Amino acid sequence: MIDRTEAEEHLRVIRSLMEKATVYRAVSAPGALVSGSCAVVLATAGLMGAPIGFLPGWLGVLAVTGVANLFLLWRDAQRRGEVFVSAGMRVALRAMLPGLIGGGLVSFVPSPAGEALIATLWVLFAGISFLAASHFAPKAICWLGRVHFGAAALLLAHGTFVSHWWAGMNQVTLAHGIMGATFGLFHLGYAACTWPRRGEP
Amino acid sequence: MIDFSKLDKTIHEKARLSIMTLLATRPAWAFQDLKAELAMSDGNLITHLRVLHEAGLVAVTKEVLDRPQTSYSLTAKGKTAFQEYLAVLEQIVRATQG
Repeated sequence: MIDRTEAEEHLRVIRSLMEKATVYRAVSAPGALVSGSCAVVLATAGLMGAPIGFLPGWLGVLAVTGVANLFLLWRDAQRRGEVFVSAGMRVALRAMLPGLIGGGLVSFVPSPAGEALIATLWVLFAGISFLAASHFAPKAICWLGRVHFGAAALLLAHGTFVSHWWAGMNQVTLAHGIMGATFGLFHLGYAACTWPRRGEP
Repeated sequence: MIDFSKLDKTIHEKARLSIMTLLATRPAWAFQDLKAELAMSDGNLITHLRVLHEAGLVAVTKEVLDRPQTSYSLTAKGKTAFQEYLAVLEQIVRATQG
């Protein structure tokens, strides 16, 4: 026989685990590895002076990483026997869409401060998107949002009040550097921290 | 009157209750996903899964996709047992309220 306290404790365990099981991981570790690697490769090429346009280059990275991430999420859903467009994915998309649209819109606004400001705003909106999913995302995604947001805030403050958007520097090279050092490295860090460990029974 | 006989002793152990709860949320769980979610050691998790499997509450599927993978799911008996277990817990809480 069990008493009320024990019954309540068991119900609490059940509830908390069921809530945890509904957590939706919008970015898988392999997806983050693809995103981070593409970003670091493009940023390195840009920093070394390769003739790659800032906008076409990074929209290319976005397309490759978007397709790769969707494929990996689909494969993961198949493996778990779930539908691809699950309730979790719909909630995640609804939460993240405003930040993603915001990032898309600033890409095409003529910027007096050049590409470095656009890159900084992309990082800011990426952070906002990840943070918007924090109520139902694993902790690692919240951290991904925090580091993007924090880095963008620091860059905005430095560019506005200290360096005047690094006046005199090549804006395209600088923007490539910002994207590689933030978006690229943060995604690689996320992949390293969340990579599934081996060891089947 | 609360029917305590429906309080399945196999499920009542906390680790096994946690496993049953997760298995009730999806059609199937890979071993690695269960392990990550419950933060249990391989040996501990395997032991509890074996007890649940031997009691007929959990089904095991072994397949080779890009690498060997073992998945676990609730059997029909497991689903019923879990629902009955939940119902008994709720009855206990309700009966002692006030």
